[in-house]
Amino acid sequence: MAERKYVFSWDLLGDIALGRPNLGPNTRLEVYRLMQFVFRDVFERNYGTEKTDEIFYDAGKLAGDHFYKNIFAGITDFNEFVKKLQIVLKDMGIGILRIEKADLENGSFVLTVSEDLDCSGLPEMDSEICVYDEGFIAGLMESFTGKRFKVKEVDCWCTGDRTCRFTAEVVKD
Amino acid sequence: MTDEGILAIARAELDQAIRESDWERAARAADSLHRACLDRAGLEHPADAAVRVVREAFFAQKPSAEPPGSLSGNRELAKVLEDVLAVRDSLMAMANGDLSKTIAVKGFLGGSLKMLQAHLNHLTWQTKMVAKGDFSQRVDFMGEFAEAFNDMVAQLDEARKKITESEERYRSFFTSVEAIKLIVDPATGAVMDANPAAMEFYGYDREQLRGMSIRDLDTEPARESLAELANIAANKKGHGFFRHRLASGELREIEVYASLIQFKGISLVMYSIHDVTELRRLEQIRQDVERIVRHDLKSPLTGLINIPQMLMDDANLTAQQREMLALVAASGQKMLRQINSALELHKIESGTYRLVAQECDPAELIRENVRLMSVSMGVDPGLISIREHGTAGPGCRIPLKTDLLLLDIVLMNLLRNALEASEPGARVGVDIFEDGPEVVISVSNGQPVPAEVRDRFFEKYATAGKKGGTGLGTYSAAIMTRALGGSIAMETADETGTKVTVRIPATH
Ligand SMILES: [Zn+2]
Repeated sequence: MAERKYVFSWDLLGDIALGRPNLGPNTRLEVYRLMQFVFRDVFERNYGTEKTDEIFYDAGKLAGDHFYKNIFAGITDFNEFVKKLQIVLKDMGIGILRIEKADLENGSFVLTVSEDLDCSGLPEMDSEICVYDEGFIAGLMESFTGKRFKVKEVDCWCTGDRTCRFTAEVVKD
Repeated sequence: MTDEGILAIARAELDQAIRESDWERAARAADSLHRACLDRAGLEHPADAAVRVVREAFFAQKPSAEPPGSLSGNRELAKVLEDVLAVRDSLMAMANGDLSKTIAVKGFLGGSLKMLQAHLNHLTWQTKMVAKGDFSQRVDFMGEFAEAFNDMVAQLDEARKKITESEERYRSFFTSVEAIKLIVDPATGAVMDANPAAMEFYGYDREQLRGMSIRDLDTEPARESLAELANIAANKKGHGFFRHRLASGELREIEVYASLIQFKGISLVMYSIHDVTELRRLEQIRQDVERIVRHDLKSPLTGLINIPQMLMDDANLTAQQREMLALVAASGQKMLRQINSALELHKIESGTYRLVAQECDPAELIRENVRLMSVSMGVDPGLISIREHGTAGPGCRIPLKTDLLLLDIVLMNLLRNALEASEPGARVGVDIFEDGPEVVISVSNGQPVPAEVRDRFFEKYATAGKKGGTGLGTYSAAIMTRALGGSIAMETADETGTKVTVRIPATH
C-alpha cells in the first residue's frame, strides 16, 4: 500500500479550546448524524452493505481503543471502569449506559445504551444500524480486558426497540 | 319487512349506484348485500372475525393462535397474532420475575418491554454491586423506588463508613497506647490480636500471640479463664488477677480489666493488662516487716522490760543503779507502746482491727503513763492533775469496758501532746467523768493551738513545727477513738489554752 495521508491519533483531534473560542466543543447532533449516515450511504453504494458494516465496525473499534487509552488507562477494577464509563458517556452526551449482565469470568456481557447518539429517535428500519457503536464497545472491552471481543447489537431503536442492547462475548480461540 | 324485501331493495340500490357510477354508494350497498347473504348462510363477516381473534389474542385467557378459516390466507393478520402472543408470553414471564427471556417482537410494544427488561436487569446488576460493597450505585428508574433505594444505599454507605472509622479509631488506639492490650475471643479463648506493648511484655511477636489461647499464657488455666471470659461477655466488664507466663518463662502477676468490644460485628473481649508483679513484691515486703516487728521485736522487748524489774528487787543496788534500771525498763515500755501503737494504727487503717473489750480504769492508765513519762522524759508528775468524777462523787472509780491497749495509746498520745505543747513547768489537767452512756476524758493545757493547724488538728502529719513530732499523735488518737466507737474534739483559745476531749461508750 502506498504511503498513507492520515493515521489517526488523539492529538490530531486538535486544540478545540484554541480553535473554537466562541463556539466551544459542542455541535448539533443532526450534524453528527448527517455525516455518519451520508458516509454510510456513499459507502454502501460503492462497497455494498456488508463491507460498509465492516468499515463502520472497524472505525468504531479504532475509536474505542483511543477513547480507552486517553480516558480510562490505568483502571484495573471492572466496576470502577463501568462507573467511569457511565459518567463519561453521559457527560459527553453519547448515551446512558446500563449493565444488564456482567460475567467477567466467562467474558459475557449484556449492556444497553439509551438515548444513543447514533440511533435514538430514528425512524423504524428493517435492521440494527449501530454498527459503529458495536465496534466502539468492542474497542473499549478489548482494551480493558486484553481479550478479543465480538459485540452485536441485538435490539436497536431503529428496529422499534426503544433502546439499543448489545451483547459482548469474548472470542474463544 | 321480509328478508326477501330487504335483499330486493339492496340489489336495486346496488344496480342504481352502478348505473350512476357512484362507487362509494355501490360499495356500501354491496357490503349490506354481503352481510345479508352471510347471515343467511350462517357465516361470520371477515372483518368481525379479524377483530374477534385480535381481541382474543389481547384479552382472552386462552386465545387461538391461528386466524379463523376464512382469513387463513391473511399473512398480516397471522403476523399480528404471532406478535401479540409473543408479547403476552414476554409480559407473563416478566410478571413472574423471569428477566432472561428474549423478547422476539419488534416495534413499540416489544420495544417498551425491552426497555423495562433492560431497566430491571440493570437494577439487578446494581443491587449485586451494592451487595458486593459498591455503595456508590444510584438508581434512576421508578421514581419513589429509586429514591428509597438510593436512600438505603446512602445509609448503608454511611453506616459502613462509621464502622470503618470506629474500627480505625480503635485500631490506632489499640496500637498506639503503651498499655498492654490483648483481644480475646470469649467463645474459644483464642488471642485475636495483640498490641505492640503486649508483644514487648510477653516477648512473643504478633503472629505468635495470635496463634495462642489465653490458656497458654495463664499459669492456672484450670481457674476457668474461659468461664471468666464468658462472664465478661455477659456483663460487658470484668476485673481479676492472673499469673501469666512470658516467652522467657518468667512469671508475672497481672491485674486485668476486661471489657466487651464489637469488632466487625463480632463480640470480643479486650484485656487491659497491668503488670502488678512489683506492687505485689512491695506488699509482700510490707507484710514481712510487720511480721518481723510483731514477733521478732516485741518478744525480746518483753525481756528487756522485765529483767530490770527483777534486778530492782535485788537489795544490793545503789539508788543511782535503781534509777538507771528504771529508765531502761521505762524506755522499753515506751518502745513497746510505740510498736503497739504502730501495729494498731495499721490494723485500723487496713480495716483488720477488731475491738476486744476488757475492764479498764482510765485514771489508773493515766497515772501509769505519767509515771513512765517521769522516768523516760523527766516529766514532773506533780504538774499533772487528775480529776475523776464518778456518779458516786469525786474520786470514785468510773467503770469502763473497752479495748485497753487502744485506750492506753490514746491517753499516752494526748498526754504527751499536751506536755510537749506546754511551757516548761506549766500544768496539764486531766478530767474524767461519766456523761450518760459515755465516759468523757479531757486533757487541757494553757497553750493555744497555732492558728495554721487548727483546721487540720487531727489530720495525719499535721504538726506545728514541734521538735521531734511525727505528726501522728493526734491523728492516731482520733482514729483510735473512732475505732472504739467514740468521738474526739478539740477546743482552743488564746486566753484559755487548749482542751482535747474524748468520748467513749462506757460498755461494749
Ligand atoms: Zn441502535
